[in-house]
Amino acid sequence: MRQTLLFAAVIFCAPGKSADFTVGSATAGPGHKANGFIHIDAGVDAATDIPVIVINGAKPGPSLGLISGSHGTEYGSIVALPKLAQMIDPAELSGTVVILPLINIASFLDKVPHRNPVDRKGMNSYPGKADGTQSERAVWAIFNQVILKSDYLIDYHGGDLDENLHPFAYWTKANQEPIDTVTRNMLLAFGLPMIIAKSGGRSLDATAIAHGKPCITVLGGHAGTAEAEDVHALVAGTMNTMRHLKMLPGDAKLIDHPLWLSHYSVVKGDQDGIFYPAAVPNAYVEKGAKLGHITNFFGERISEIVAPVSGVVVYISALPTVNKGDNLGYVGELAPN
Amino acid sequence: MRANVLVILVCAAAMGGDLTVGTATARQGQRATGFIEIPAAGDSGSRIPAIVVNGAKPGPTLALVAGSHGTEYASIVAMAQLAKAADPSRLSGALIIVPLVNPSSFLEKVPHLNPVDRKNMNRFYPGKPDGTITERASWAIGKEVVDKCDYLIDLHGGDLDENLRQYTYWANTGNQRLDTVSKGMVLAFGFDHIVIQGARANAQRPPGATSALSRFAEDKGKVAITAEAGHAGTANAEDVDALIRGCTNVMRYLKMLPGTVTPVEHPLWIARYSVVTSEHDGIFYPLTVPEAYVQKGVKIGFVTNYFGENISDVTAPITGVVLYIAAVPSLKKGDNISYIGEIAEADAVPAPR
Repeated sequence: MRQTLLFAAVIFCAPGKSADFTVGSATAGPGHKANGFIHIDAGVDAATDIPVIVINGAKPGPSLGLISGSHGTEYGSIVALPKLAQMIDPAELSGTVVILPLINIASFLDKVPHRNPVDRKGMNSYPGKADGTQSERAVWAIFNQVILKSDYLIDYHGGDLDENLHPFAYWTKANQEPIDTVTRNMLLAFGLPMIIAKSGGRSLDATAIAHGKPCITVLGGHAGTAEAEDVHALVAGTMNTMRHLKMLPGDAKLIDHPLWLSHYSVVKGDQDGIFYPAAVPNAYVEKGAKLGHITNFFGERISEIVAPVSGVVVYISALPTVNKGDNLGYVGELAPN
Repeated sequence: MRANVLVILVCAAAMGGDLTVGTATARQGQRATGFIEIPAAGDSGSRIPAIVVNGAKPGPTLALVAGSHGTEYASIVAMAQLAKAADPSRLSGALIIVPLVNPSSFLEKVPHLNPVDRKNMNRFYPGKPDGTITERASWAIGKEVVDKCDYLIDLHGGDLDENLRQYTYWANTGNQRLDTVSKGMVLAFGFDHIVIQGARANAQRPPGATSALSRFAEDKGKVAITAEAGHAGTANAEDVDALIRGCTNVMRYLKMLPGTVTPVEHPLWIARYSVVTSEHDGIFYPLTVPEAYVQKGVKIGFVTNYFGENISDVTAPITGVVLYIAAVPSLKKGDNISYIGEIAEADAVPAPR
């Protein structure tokens, strides 16, 4: 019953059959694609222009927002979304796809991981502020112009410049139905084989879900690369999710047995120095197993890094650089069925 | 004959006494670790780690300097490992090892520059005692390392954003004493691609001009080479081993360690290289790999905008060998994309000794 109500809501939200769809400077009529920018005016710091692609399907349907590059050196997803934009044919599409392939341009161009170098802030903290710093103004615009106007959302991440990971997804729960079932099915359609459950926070997914918008977060790519395998996992996963949402023709096969992780523990460096990893992403480790060691710049071992819990290595630091207090990895704990 | 005179001269330098670099003082037959302290002054200070390995037997002093670019990891890891492994009881002469000139770049993961003053730490020698952090550190390395050594190897590699083929630089300075020994050092180091820095011979430089470490050392009469290995955030065993082996071979060539060294017989000499830069902001897709031979005009990559549309083809400006190519998709207008090395004509190749 609840499921039916949500479905009705989706149909209501769908743009009218012949309406134009506009985001920022991009306006696409039905059956068309348009490129443009969400312009963020200068405020306490510099202006920026966030690229946006609107693909307005020939047939009616829901609106799907695809957002990438809040961390501008998570390249797998930043390369995947422009490719996806080229692949989606508006004549075949039911509904509308709004793609933001790179929201943190300064991070990308300056090769600064994790943050926007303009204001040194992360760009995955919502809803932002109309009169804040550049990251806050950009996030505010995305919240209002994309998140609130979408029926479904996917936020794309990956291993950053300094992170080795295999593709996985977050299931961010509202602890409410039907939305948790909707996002769970989107994740099974996306098809990444490892899924971590979480809830709360100010990230894009948690914020969207708090506003009733089903949103999943997917991660692919690692350590400065944009390998075909990772890019393909993100493109194919998105296409299958669109089939599942009836935006593209064809059946969506759901993944049968993903690895569900109930939560993860963060492993931190306790010294400045050179990190030597001794484990790889996807490895199963026992609590206390060695994940790596740290030496000083004289080559002397100064610390052993061990797994704080038994579980699966979700990611591990990809670079020799370690600062005291830096994250060196996540170890995820298997969910009890 | 000339070679004999040279060996006698340099042997005299390290006979007997203590050797001090920064806070590290090693007696003969001992090893010591410490820091070259750069006090804060105008901007923040720095502590540059230094290891002194003072051999039990007399001989020359070799300086091994890495990490002016603090995310060229293979060279930094190699020098830390070499520092740990070096055995003073076997050594004739002394080693000064500086594994990480630019700790801020390393810790903050900022390639190419010192993030404190945004300067390239291999461009400002001799530095200044009262400049920014890069200038003060360069000045201190001049006094503490360059002045105290006879030979110097500056170690680099592909930075966080560079895929690179291992190679060395050999400077043709026009000073026959330096050039003969440095050629022996690059051939002993063992990399089979060698870039000739020919522009250094007889070059007139404006007063006050600053330079890279190797050129600064040469100007002070020290024999210097530069070695490059590693790429794109990695410290792979293959690259780390190649650098350690290369330095060890140079130590054998200089008679600081027992054993013979087999020099590279037929290296590929590269007369000069051409820098390919970007005309656009966008996403870079490489179409070639390091070590590939490319013809002038051949496509080595392309750039798309953020909508996925191809906006520029990147082509080889000359015929030659790809020394490095950008390793990450980020591309900013004016950024370097690649070095293409032009293979030296037979008459430009240094004659065998």
